[in-house]
Amino acid sequence: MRHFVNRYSFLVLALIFRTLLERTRQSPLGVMGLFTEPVLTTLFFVLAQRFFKLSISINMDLTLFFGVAFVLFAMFKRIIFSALPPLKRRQLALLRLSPVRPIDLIIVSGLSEAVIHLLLMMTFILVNSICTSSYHAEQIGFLFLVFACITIFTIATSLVLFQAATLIPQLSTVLRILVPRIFFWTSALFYSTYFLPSTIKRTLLVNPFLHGIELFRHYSSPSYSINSISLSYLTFASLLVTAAALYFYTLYEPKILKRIYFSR
Amino acid sequence: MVLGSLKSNNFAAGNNTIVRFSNAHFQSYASNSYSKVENFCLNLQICRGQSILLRPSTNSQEKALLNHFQGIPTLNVGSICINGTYGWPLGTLKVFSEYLTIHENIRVFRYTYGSSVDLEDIYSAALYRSRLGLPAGNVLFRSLPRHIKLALSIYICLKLDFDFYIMPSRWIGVSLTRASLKDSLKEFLPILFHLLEIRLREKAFILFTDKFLGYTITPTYSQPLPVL
Repeated sequence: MRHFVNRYSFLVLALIFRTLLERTRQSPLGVMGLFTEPVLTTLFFVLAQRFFKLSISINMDLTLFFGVAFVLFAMFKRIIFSALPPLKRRQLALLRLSPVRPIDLIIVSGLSEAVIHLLLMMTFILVNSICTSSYHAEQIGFLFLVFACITIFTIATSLVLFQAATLIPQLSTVLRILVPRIFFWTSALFYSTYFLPSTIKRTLLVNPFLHGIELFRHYSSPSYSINSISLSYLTFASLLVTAAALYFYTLYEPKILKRIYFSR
Repeated sequence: MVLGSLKSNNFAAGNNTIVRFSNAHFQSYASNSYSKVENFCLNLQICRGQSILLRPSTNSQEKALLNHFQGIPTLNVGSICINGTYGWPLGTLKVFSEYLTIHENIRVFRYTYGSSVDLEDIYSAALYRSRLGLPAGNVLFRSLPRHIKLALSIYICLKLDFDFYIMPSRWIGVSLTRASLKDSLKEFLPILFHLLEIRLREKAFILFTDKFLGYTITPTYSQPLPVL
């Protein structure tokens, strides 16, 4: 078992190394090219907030409020898009290496994005805490825990979507359009759940990604109030989605492999 | 499907079986359409030090076998027992990343396969490297000419020390129409196959072809297998 875990971790690390190096070399900006898109997305919303002078009566710096949410959402979107359409030509070539399975490619895409966005998030929080001198470093363990839960949830969701899109190719475009939009409006990116009416709130709280964003805000700025938001729910939902994704993957792997091969 | 063996590799085959196809009924697809199905049966045993020549009667049979080795299930009935490690089909270029250097590509392969062979052993220390005229390891893969890429693909796979190797001949340019590429490969192939011969004393080799550059092939078993 230990040998298997070691081998698998080496495989995943090698593929992450390959993916990140490829992306760095393909981009004209080099390493900075990895961060361009999430930085621009976050910057757009932060500047929009400044420009329109939006104000929400929350006990939190508004730049941090929007920044945290949009970095996490940028990661979510990138991971989902990496699984839809199922696999790109560049990724398919890796299936010729005998230890590599389709699930590894999804996990590797997700973890590569997670690494990039974690670095970005840490930089963002660090810069913000230097500027406002309001960051409480004792919560950093929780920040990592929430980030890990969000990453697991996102990769598991992308694995479910990957399977659906591979087995029913017509779904690929629909999912690509619908899923990010649904999560955009229901994940408290630009509002706080604290002030939502209870009827809407009850529905929105089903979304684990919303819990992740709100918890991340809370742990990066403890004065930010959260109500009915639970870390255990986020952890439970992440594990549940992961278990479901792995179960269905085990069931449908032969079909998925055939579909991937013949849709080329 | 016709079986044969390479004349140049008559090494002793012990009981050390690496691959065994027992009444394996494969499902292959006549074209890239998912619906057209063709079935064929294969009984085969490959031991260490043995080279097997497979002559698939159609391209789809070759594809089905290759796909099976790449994890795409094509088996309907029967069993396949694989008791060893194998790399990518020799000659394929797609496994290499164009944006990584040769050394970086090797590092990725080494960790992917969990190979304990040292990076230097794989690429730098070889007498063959100078004889093959391979470039330095820090050159980007995309900047290399195609025949050197092909030679590298074969060379690195051989050096990674797998238990058996698979080679579809069309992937190494035998059936390529570009004469210039064929000529370039002719310089590399004899040296590569010399290296391969050394490897094959303890490994196994499966070749999919009906013709081969510089090698005389004498089929020892030419009875066609029943097709379902």
